[in-house]
Amino acid sequence: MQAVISGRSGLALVIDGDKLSSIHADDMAQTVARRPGDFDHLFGDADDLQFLEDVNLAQIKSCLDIAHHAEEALHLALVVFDPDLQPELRQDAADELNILLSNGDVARRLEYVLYAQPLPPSADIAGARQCSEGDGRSLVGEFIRDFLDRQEAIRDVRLAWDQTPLARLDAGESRVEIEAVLVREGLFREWVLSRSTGEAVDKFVSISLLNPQVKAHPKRCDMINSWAKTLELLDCLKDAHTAYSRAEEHVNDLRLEDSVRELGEAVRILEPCVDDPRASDACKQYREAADALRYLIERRTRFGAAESDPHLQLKSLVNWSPPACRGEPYEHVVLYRRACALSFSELIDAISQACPPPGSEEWRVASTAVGHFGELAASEEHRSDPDNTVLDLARQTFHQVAASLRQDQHAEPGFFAFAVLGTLLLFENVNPTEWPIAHRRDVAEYAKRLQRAKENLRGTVRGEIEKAWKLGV
Amino acid sequence: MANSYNCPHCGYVIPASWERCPHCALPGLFPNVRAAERQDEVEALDHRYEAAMQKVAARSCVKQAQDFEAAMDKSTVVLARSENEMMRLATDDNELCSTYYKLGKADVRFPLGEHWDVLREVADSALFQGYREHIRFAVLSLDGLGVENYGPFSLTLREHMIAHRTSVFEENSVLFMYHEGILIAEVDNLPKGRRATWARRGKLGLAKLAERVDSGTSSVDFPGILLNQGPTSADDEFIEAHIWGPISVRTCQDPIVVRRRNKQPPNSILRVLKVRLRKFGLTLEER
Repeated sequence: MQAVISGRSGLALVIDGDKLSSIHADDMAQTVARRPGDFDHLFGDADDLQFLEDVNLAQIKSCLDIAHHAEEALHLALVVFDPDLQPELRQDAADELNILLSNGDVARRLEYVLYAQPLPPSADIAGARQCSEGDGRSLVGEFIRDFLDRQEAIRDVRLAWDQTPLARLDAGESRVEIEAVLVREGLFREWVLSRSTGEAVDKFVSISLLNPQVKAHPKRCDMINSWAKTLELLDCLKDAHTAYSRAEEHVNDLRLEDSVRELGEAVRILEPCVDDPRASDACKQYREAADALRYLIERRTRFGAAESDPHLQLKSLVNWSPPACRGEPYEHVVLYRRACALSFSELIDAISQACPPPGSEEWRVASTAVGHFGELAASEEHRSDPDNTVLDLARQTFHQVAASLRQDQHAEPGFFAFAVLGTLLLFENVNPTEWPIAHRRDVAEYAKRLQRAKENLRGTVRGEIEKAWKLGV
Repeated sequence: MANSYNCPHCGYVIPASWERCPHCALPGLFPNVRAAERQDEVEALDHRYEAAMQKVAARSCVKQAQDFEAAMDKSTVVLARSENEMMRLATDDNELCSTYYKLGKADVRFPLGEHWDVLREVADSALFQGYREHIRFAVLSLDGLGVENYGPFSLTLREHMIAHRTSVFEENSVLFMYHEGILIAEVDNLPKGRRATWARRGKLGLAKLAERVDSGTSSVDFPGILLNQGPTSADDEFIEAHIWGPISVRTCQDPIVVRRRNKQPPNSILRVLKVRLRKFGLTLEER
């Protein structure tokens, strides 16, 4: 005998030679004679058809029973998570689901579907926990707990599947079609369970490759291997990103050596997957960040950043700006930018403390540094500064310096010139329509000053500062 | 059935199964409706209709036949569905449900091997060459009930959402091909006058069923004449409706009829179904 089964339609169409009959899930004892023309009317829009070959009536009934109850169980499980439904209704659904889950096959089939996608944000997790607690709901309670505990694994497996390259799929099958096979065969579930128990990727790859629906299709086997590699890659990227986050924290605390160590760890994690462009890009980024930090550490050490003398401190900090001086590539190195921004604010503090006399050596290096930071911001930062962080920094600097000018008449023109030039260089390259409304008044003022500065300033940045100094912009 | 026709806009040839002109992109009629609109189909149905009217005149039951035709003109399309399909239909806009309902979809592709030949002829039907996957199958009804043998829920479709894309056929189309011994190669030689557009369903109904109308027939008999619910599927008789394209819960009109059965689905499923259908202004009516 052959049969077409649909749990959704709740029936099996049985082919015995040239005779057709149907068995219905709500009345398995009865067999109804059928004609080929009944097929479309019976199955309607059902898209869960299973085709069984060389089976007997008992096997068909058993398959139908499981498919039908698994479909009902899916409805009930979703009712339990549905925040739009009344709690009593959800509790009743939990009671009925509890009964269905006593059949291990039904529970497993339900997991086939539920373990293929993480819960969407609209699911009411707290409500579902509440509904599934209490006497007589031990099976549903355990089922929901397991399902929720495995959400992270479900998310990982799903993400890996979604990122498995399409090029590896069989040309004759779409991603959706292959995914449907994997769901129906319970492979998403297998991977989630293996992952939840910390088993090696190799093990569930082996299980998957032995599945008849995979084994018979070489392209599907390739796809399983590719899926596993993607999962490993995502694990590596996740771990590497964790190390990178720690590196960022260390930069914030000025623990640059620790930061370099964490970046090294991130690179080491990614090395096994470095053939993949996603891993190699991240690897390159972390390496560059580590190199940049090493360079900063070297400079800091050389110029004695820990020096308490404000003049030496200033000199040291000024020398932290070599990437800006040399125009080195750093646009992908977030850490590097952060370190520069950090030294920029330290620089401003140091200038305020040192108060270098105009025309002195300190004054020149300070002016160079500010000019370079201005260039840095103008040439690079604004392009990756959607929140106007750099703009805000420049603005704050302007106000800080303006405030200090009022307090220190001697330093006033020089500091003012530094701030204005750094800021103007930035503004020259920013599209005014991108500025926040709150900045526009300042911007208008800066624009006016820029115009004046342009009229008066010529030559190099240093020369412009000197002219600005003389003019007292 | 001709395999092509000329575009009324640009005049070039459009394959009959196409939804729009491949040359000027003018949207076309739905292929099933276009097939029913062909002149030879219309004329053949008119001949059958006139012959049927002559017979009822000879039996002195013209009034009853006219009443039946008038009732047929108001007949509706009814789909039969299971409760599980109803649950899916009623959650069109529910993110939680749609996340999981879309998983595990399987295509209707019969396996290779001669065991499946008996069903493969369904998929190979000559009636919908090139667009069968777009057709939904339903029946015409006068009392809101579909074929009981096909599913417990009867969904009546809103006329203004399906009239333009629905054609009707003499009987179950697969069986018709089977009975008439029609092969795919004979697609151009299908007997004419067995299908009609939505507007002409009354004529088709009378042409087919006039013999069952007599001087004693009253309006209460009409639903049973149109749709004969047999004890088994083999005894069911109906006029088949072919709807091109998808159907959602918003295509359905109130009420949705559910028949009582020996074994009901879980109580909460029916209750949830009622709640979800209410959101769309639909009620469940148990008969």
